[in-house]
Parts: sequence; C-alpha cells; structure tokens
Amino acid sequence: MAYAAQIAEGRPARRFWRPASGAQGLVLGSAIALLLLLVAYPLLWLVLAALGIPGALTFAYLAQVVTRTQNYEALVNTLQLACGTGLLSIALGVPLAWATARCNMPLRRVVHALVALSYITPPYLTALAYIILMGPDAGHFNRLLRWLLGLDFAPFNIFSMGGVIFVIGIHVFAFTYFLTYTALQSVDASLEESAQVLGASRWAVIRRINLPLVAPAITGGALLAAVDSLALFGPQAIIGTPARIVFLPTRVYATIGGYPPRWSESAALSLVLVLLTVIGLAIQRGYLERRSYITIGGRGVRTQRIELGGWRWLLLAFCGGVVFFSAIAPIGVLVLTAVSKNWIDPPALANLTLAHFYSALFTDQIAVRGIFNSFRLATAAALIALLLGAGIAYVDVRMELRGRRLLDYLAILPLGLPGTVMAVGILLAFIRPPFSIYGTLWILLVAYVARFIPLATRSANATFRQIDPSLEEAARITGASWLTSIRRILVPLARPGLLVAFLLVFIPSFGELSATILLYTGGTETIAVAIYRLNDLGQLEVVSALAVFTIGVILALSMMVSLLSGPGGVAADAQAPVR
Amino acid sequence: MMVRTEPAMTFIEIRDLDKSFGSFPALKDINLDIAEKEFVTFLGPSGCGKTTMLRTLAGFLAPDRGTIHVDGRLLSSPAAIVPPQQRRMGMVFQNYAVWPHMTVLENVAFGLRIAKVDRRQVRDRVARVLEAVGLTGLEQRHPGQLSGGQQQRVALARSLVVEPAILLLDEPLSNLDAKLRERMRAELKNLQRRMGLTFIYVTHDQAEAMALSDRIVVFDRGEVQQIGEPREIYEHPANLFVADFMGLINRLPAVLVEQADGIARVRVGSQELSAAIAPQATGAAGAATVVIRPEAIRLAHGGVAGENRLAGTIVDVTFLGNIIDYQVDVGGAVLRVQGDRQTALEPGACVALAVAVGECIVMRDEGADHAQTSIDAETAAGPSIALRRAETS
Amino acid sequence: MPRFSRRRVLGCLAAAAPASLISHPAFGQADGPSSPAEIDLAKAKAEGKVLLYTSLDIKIVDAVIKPFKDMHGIDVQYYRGGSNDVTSKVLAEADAGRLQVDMVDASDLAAILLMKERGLLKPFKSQSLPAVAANLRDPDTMWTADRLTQAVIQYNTKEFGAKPPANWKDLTAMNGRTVFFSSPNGDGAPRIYTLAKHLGWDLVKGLAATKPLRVQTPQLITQVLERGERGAGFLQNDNIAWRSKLEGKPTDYVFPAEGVPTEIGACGLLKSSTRPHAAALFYEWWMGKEGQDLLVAGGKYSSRTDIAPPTGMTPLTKLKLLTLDYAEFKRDRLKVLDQLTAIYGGEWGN
Repeated sequence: MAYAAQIAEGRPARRFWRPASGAQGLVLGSAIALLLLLVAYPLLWLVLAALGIPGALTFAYLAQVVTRTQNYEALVNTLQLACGTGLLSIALGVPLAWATARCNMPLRRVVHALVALSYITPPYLTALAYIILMGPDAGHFNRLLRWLLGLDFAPFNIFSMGGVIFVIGIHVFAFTYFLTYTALQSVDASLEESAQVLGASRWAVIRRINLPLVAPAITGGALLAAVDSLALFGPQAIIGTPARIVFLPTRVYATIGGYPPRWSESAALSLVLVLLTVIGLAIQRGYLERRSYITIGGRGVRTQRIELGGWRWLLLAFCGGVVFFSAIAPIGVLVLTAVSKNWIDPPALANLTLAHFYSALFTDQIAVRGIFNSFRLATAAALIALLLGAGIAYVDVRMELRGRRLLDYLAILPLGLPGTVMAVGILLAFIRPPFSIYGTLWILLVAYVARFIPLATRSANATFRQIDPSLEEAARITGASWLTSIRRILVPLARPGLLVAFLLVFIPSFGELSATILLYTGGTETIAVAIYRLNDLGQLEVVSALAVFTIGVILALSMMVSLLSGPGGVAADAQAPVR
Repeated sequence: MMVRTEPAMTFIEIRDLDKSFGSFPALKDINLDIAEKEFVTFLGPSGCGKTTMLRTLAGFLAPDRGTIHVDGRLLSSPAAIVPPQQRRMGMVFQNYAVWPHMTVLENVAFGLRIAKVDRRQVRDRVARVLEAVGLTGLEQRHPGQLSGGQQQRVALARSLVVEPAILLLDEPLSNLDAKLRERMRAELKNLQRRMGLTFIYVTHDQAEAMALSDRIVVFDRGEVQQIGEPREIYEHPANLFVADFMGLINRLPAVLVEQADGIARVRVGSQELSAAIAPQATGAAGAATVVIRPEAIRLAHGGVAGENRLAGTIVDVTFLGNIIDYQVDVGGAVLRVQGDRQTALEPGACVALAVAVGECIVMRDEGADHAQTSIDAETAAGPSIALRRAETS
Repeated sequence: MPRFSRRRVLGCLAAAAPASLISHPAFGQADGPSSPAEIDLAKAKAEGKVLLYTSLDIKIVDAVIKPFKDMHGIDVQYYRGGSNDVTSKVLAEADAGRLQVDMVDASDLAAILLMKERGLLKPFKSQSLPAVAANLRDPDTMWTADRLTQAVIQYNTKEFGAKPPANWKDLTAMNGRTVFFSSPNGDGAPRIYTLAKHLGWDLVKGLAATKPLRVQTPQLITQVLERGERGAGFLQNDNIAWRSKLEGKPTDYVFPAEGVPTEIGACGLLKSSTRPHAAALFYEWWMGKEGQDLLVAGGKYSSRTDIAPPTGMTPLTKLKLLTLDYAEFKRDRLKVLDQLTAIYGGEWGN
C-alpha cells in the first residue's frame, strides 16, 4: 500500500532511537568527558595531594592546617573576615534595599544601578583605589579630613583588618542588597494592609510583618557575601599583605609561590577553604530556603510604596554615602590617577594627560600582552563554556537521562569554589602527564572554563526552558532530523539567551585574578596579572590606566547583558550575583 | 472487557502496548485497530494517557512493551523505532508550535524544504494548502501578528502540505474561544473528509469527540475503557467511568434482586426497577449501581409498557434557561430530572417519573470514588511528570 | 544501559584525543655551545628568540635587551618576578618537564645554587669569567654573578632632610615612620638575615618595633616615600634609591657606616634550553662589557672588576659590606623565615 511504500524508501527502522542517537550520543559523551576533565579531575588531585600523594599517604598536611601558627592564624583571620563582611553587608544592603524597593526616596534607580556598578567592578581594583584614598598618611581622604578638622592623626588606616573588611564589604554587600530587594518586592501589599487594618503602626508593620518575611533573604544574602569574601584573593593580598594580615588564599599563594613549592600543604589549605565555602552554602541552601515564606517572582504581587516625607532626604543621604564609597569614589580616584601626570599633586587642568593610557595600551610590554591575552582567553573561554553549557542545559531540559542529576551537580559545583582552590587543583592536575599544559595559555583557558561554566549552564538552561519543546517536535515530525531541528529552530530562538550566556562568562574571565595569579607564567600574563605585577613595581599610573580600561570594558559588556535580558528577558533569573 | 468493533481494513495496529515513566504506568496493555480514513478520537480526563498514546504513535516515545504497525510496517517496538521525521505523519500541537522567527510561508514550507522539493513545487503546494485552510494573503506575516485561530490554521497547513497519511491532533481547539471552536470543529471534519486522511484526535471534551469522530476510544488511567461509535458509547457505556464521562448521569446505589434474559430487577431505596445490564456487570450479585441519564426520565402521568415507574417528591428546583433542573427524592435516593420550561413544578410537589427499561443500566459497584483515585495516581507520579506538559494528558 | 555506554565511551575518547596532543614535554638537547667560540650565529638567528626569567628591574632589562635585539634581530622575551617567583616558576616547570626558559637571572644566589643542585644549569665558559672575582662565580662555570645589590637607607627629604638618618640604629627611633619590603614568598629575607648575623638580632627586632609598613617590592618603598606615606625605608635596593633621587623625587639615600648588606645576583644558562645558541649569545651580551655598562647605567653595581660603579655611587671597596654565606642560607632558609615571621608577622612563604 501507499504508506508502506513511502516508509520503505531506503530508510530502515533506526536501531534504538532513545535519547542517544548517533549525533546526540557524541554531544552527550563529549560534554560529560570534558566536564569530568575540567572539574572532577582537578578536584580529585586536590584531595590526593592534601593526603600526601604522590608520596606516602598521610594526614600530616591536613593536621598542619591547625598546628602551624601561620596556617592557624590565616584560618582565624579568614573567619573574622567572613563574619565582618557578612555583618557589614547587612548593615549596608538592607537599608538600601528597603529604600529602593519600598520607599519613595528619589533617585532610586540611580542608587540601584550604582550598587550593581560596585559589584561588577573587580574588587582588586577597588582595593588599589582605596590605598590611594585611605593610605594612613598620604591617602586623599585622610589628608582632606586632617586639613578640614585639624587633626594630627590619620582617621582611617586602610592597612588593617577593618580596612580589609571595609574594602571587601563594599563589594559583596550587593548580594544582600539584591536578595533583600527581590524579597521585599515580593511581599504583597495585602499582607501589610491586613496588619494596618488591625491597628499596627508603620513601624510595627515593618518590624512584625516585613522583616520576618524577608529575614531568610537577608541572612541568605549575608551568607553568600561571607562565602564570597573568603575567596577574594586580590583585596586580601593588596591590602592584607602590607598590613601583615594573612588569609587562607594568600597563604595558599605563598606556599606555592615560595621555593620549593609546597603542593600538599597548599592542597590541604585549599580543602579547608572549600569546607568553609561548602558549609556556608549548605546553610544558605538547606536551612534558609526551606524557611522562605515568599515565592520570589510570584505573579500578581502588588506592593505599597511607603511615603516618607522629609525623612526620605536623610535616607537618600545615607544611600548616597554608601554608593559613593562603594562605587563612585574608587572608580573616580582611578580615573583621576590615570589621567594625572603626577598623581601626588592635587588635580589641576595642567596636570592632565592621556600618556598613561597610551603606554598601557600600546607601549608597556606587560600591559599590552596582558590586554591581548585577556581578550583572547576570555573569548575562547566564553565560546567553549557556551558550547559545553548549552550541551549540559540541553540534556537537563530536553532529555530524560539517568545520571542527569550528577551532570547538573558537576556543572554547578565550580560556582561554590574559590578561584584559588580551582587553580591549585588545576595546577596539580595539569602540571603532570597525561595533560601537562602548565606554562601555556591552555591552563588558563581550562581554569576559566572550569570556573565559569555554571554561569553559562544556568543561562542556557533558563533560555531553553522558555522555548516550548513542541517547537522542536513540530520540526521533527515535519521531517527534520534532530540536528536540523536544533540548528533551525532551537538555536535561532535561543540566540539572545545564548549571547547573554557568552557574555556572562566573558566578563568574569576578562578580569579574573585569583586563579590566574597562580597559573600564569612569562608570556601568559592577563590584564589582572599585569595590574597586580605593575602595581608591585610601583607603576601606579599605568596601573590606573589599565584599571580604567578594564572597568570600561566590563561596564560596557554588562550593560549589553542588561539590555538583552531586560524586562521579561530570558536570562533575568540566571544573573543572581555570583563569583 | 472492552467493546471492540473491528474495522474492515486495519491501517494502524497497536498491540499490547505498555509505557511507563519511572514507576508511573501511563499506558497499560493497549490494543487498538484504526482503519484508513477514519476519524478516531482518544478521549479521557487529564492524566489518562491519551496524549502519551498519541506521542508514542508519533514516535517521540518508545513503548516499553508491545508494537505499533502502520500499513503492515513495524514502526515502534521496545527494541527499535522509526524516528518521527521518517514516519510520514503530521502533528498539530495544543499550543500550535508555530515557529515565531519564521513567516507563515516559511513555517508551512519547512517540511517541503527539508525534503528538498524544488522551489516551484514548494510555491504551488504551499499556495494550495493555504487556500484550503483559508490563509491566502497572510504568507509574509509572522505568527506574532496572527490571532489564535489563524496560528492554528498555520499549524494545520504546515502538517498537511507534506501530505501525511495520518494526522495527529493534540487538543488543537482547547485554546480557542467557544464560537471559534465550533467553527473550527466543522472545518476540521470537512478537511478530513475531503482529503481522505486518517485523523487521530485527542481531547477531553466529550461533546467535541462525539461531534467529530467516527469512533471514540475512551481512556482512563492508562487503559482503554471502551471503543465504539459515539452513539454506542453514549447509550451503552461499558462501565461507570465511561457513563459518567460522556454526560450527566444519576448514580443510584441498588441491590440486585434477580436477573433473567439480560434484564435485571433491582431495588433502589424502597422502589423497584427493571434495568439493562452493562456487559461489565455480568455476574455481579448483591450491591450494584444503576445509571440513568437525567434526560431519559420523564415527568409523567400515565405510563407505557416497558417503562419503569417511580414516585417521588420534588426537593429542589433550578432554572437553567432552556430547561428546569429538578432534584426528586424517590425514597432513599435523589434523582436529577430535567423538564421543559413550560412545566414549572414547585418544591414539595409529588410527581410520577417514567423511564424506559433500556435507559437504566446496572453496573458493578466501583467502590471508591473514581475521580479521587485518578488524582492520586497523578500525584504519585511526582512533579517531574507534571512538568512535562506532553505526558500528562 | 549497555547500548548507550558504547556511545559514551566513544564520546569520551573523542574528547580525550585532542587533549593528549597538548602534552608534549619540552625536553631540550644536551648539545649547544659550551664556550663563546662554539656559538653559531646562523643557528642563533634561526632559533629566533630567547626566553629570560629575571628579577631585575624591568627598566634595566629593557635597556639591556634593546641593543641586542637591534644588533642580532633575535627577540628576547622575559618574565619578571621577585627572585622567589622566578625560582619557583623554574622549579615548577622543571617538575612538569616543561622547562621553556633559556636563561635565568635571580638576585638570590641561594636560589641559583639550588638550581645547580637540581642539575638544571649548564656549564658555559663565558668570556667574562676572568673579569669576575673567583668567589663570585661557579667553579664549574654553571653560574656567574652579574650584579651586586647593596641595601641602603632611603628617606623622604621633606620629612628627614634636615636631620637624615646615618645608621640603621637611627631608624629604631622613628616610630611609625618606617617602611621595608618583603614579599609573601620570602623575597627580602636574605638581607634582613645578613643584618641580623652581623649586627645582631636586637637591631632587627628594634626595627620591627617601629611598626614599619611592609610592601611587596623595593619599587613600592620608593612610591611610599615619594608619597610621604612614610618617612624612611630600610634595606632598600641601592639602584632604586639612586634612580629616584636622579629623577628629582623628594628622596635621598645613605650607605650606613655600620655596614651595608650586599646581595649577589647571578645568572646561568639552562641545560634543557631548546635555543642554546641564541641563549649563549645573549648570555655573552649580558655579561659582556656593553651589557654590564647598561646595567651600571641603570644604577646597578656590576660584578665585573673592570667596570666602574654607577655615577655618584661610592665604590664598593670604600663600603663596609656585610655578606651572607649562601650555602648556609640555602640550608637554613626555612628556619630563618620562621624567625622573621615571629618578629615581623605576616606571610613569608614558610
């Protein structure tokens, strides 16, 4: 009959078309293999090295973490730092979130944008800026205050534990801010109105209704801030070292950077760092999320805006102060230093020059190499992460594979790991056969892909979820093969989201420091390394020019992301602050 | 157990088909024969397995057990299946799945372009099918610029232009408003007759199923409950579920007194009735259920031979516009009876009811509430199933 | 799922294949010139480039490289870090079997000795050997001292110009106004140890008691002093203090009469180098008169006896130089770092 004849046209029934036809199987297999190589293999080596391998199996190195004073002090300092920044993030983030989310304070959007700016500015650049601003004797702020108030001592000493907490705190408070902001916006007005009807004053409503409802978000944000602060090698080294305060990441850096490199000790320290991170994240996920009483993004939430009257100017002053210190001042002083002939002299028109930019972009060997390498690496890393991430996301969203959960966890795992830890693992894994790529650009590429693949996976995942599978199925049943339906239907529709995924990996790769500083060598410097090294050599002018350039690139690309994932955009929920 | 009518030439043959998602059995032991050019509807509530059956036919799912043959050719079995793109079937999705980044023309021409049909033929065939569905002139529009009904016709055109032998339709009208739905219903039926295609249609709307189908397959909890022509299923439901699903019923708990020659004598409360016996109820003794459709009960004085007579008191009256709904207490049970607008009776009035013996059907007591059981089954399968739109239907 | 795993294995293999292509250990040849006479210019030009790891100030390195590049057309790329950075990179690459560097120069002789001990260096009878004192070069010709760095006191003239410090002891009175350098991986430790060995640990502790600001490199000492953040730095590199004054910055420096710790910087060729001729050519340039003159022009004291000290600097013979037993330091390094950690706090890489 006619039908049978059509089917019989040289196309035999394919063997076992389950979600593993030829092309699918290859994609799946490669994704799994690559993920294992980039994430699981280094972590395995980290654990092995901490236990003494290669060499005799021993727990001595792990014990050394608490028995050696330098290590123990580093651990204590790191915990102090985490607590301090967590608390500071609440003190800064909650009032600001309340002000922008719920009050009629003017310039709300500006404050909101500036908080975002404080987050995307690489923290090591903020640290550099604050040395210029708050160096105990010559720092601009100190000089200003001494002159204004006639003091004979310096009110601010950035080279102290307080200084480190401050500089890191004004970077990570964005976590608490954004989480609290979203939570506050999800509290429906009816919850407050019903309390008001029963006689509660405005303050009572805030105290008894709003705060308890958003408390999980606040604590969650503070925990994320604390966990993130553990990992920020840049500010810890730039400000902590002159202050002679040692933290776990700087200790790891020193044990590897000294000679002979002490692999096992640094691996043991890294594991401790991982442990702290995991504990923090576990509390945040398990305990707090279960107690969350609000659905974020619940539809039809109507919020009341609180009329503050005269108080709103005071609130604006506070918010303005916070964003001034966290975003405007550091970027401002870097720009000022970059365009000043002599940065010690006060700013004047005669003192302006673009020579530093010229030398940073064209003449200084290390700077130029750094810029070139950063662009190259960030582009390559973003492309690979995009392909890998899209593959993993596709498996998660479209295929019902056993072991899919494991793939998910493996892909999300690097999100919680400090860059220093990943770098040590990658160093241990790839300094030896069969993949000895130490000393090349490849090892940096591996580090960036491994660190930032979760960003691409989450974004691709969110994007694919928004595309109904029936669109691809309609193509299949109309005659298109699996590959064709991906190519002609899924990819064109997912393009904006995939572009966002690309940028979400490019941006952090471009300015990455904590892993790069351990993995680079002559010829493979990146912008961040160039800044760090040139700063060591006292070349503050070129450093500021590079810093301004970096911030400019990051800002431009972040705005692109924001445009692409605007209201109703595809990547909106994949952009939760992450390091 | 099932009523089966064997068609003349079996085109689609489904044998002993099972499909489970994890531990949740979506389809159990399905056996179906569908003839060429038939309009068959898979009917049932959500979660009954009708969409799973459709998608297995399409080749998106592989059966765990059993086979699907079309025109004698094996298309699906646990070991090997022919992929969807090679099955020469068309499919219209519930949400139309019209590609938003392509124009109407590109959407419809897609299948032809994949098959590498030459350009002039593509143009001609697309033009013809667009005319058939009434979309001429809209070729350059994007789906975002079209109404729901127009998008649905694009989906239809897209499936038809490649001249499939079988068209699968997954609740295509459920997203349209009532008036449009009725119109599209007629057009679909028309299209099917004219083009001589085999249509397999999935819906949860029994009125739609009865209006469109040559035969209906009623699904529930993964099993086929009954197959037959619409009238047959309505008037002679195989079991309580089918009876309840196809229209309004009165369910009366009854006690079987005696049965002879296919007629049973049952006691309902304090009164006695004669009733036909549903095939599935054969051999039941003791407790049973009697099913009577409200429209079959007459408010009457005087009687006709071959009718049951009941006496009752009106308990509640509801004016529904074209009819009046009465709740009548017949001593031990309350019957829902419908009368015309003119005969207006008051609560408390005594009435005599008459209903033909053939309209009363004795069925086996199904015990636990049926609706509750099917909800339980869905929850047991877990949220992962619920997320997959396609599988819960 | 046996059928599926076949595909998965294929996929894994497909992914692993290109990765294994990457790991080609860079093992060099053991041949190459062992004296200047054996340098083949044509081969050197064919090799095309030299990779140098150095801890010397990049301004000086650039100045030395430029004429060489212009003359021979051979590119010299360098990695510049503290001497500990340089050493750990070389050792790590040696461990990985991926040594790419051709020539190493570090201001910590103990590190060079370690490299010799690990068999990484190559004997080379440089033409410069007769001009260098016997105690400043390797008897096996594997390394040669190329420069001597003296640790001086540098001070801000605006703050202390009227009454400049003359001796290390003077600094112990400048509470809260001092600065010194040491990097987290231990650079800067040798000179403090030298001071301690010759002038006593009490002096070192006294300096620590002034709560000095600690910066990571000598260049940052100058920056801190120029800014006025602190007033006096101890154990600063002589060439950096010299250059800062030359450039008109408000700083000056003094060689304390008590004694001046001196550090020997040395260089050597790597045995595993894949560019032996170009490397040897550059080595000769670096140690030759022209190269060393450029070093001196940058403010460094040359190790060659036939070259004068930098303009305006006291000849070494007129200074009381305090030296370090490098073999001993190499042995006791970690213990010394522990002591310094106890006195100064912070990270010393131990």
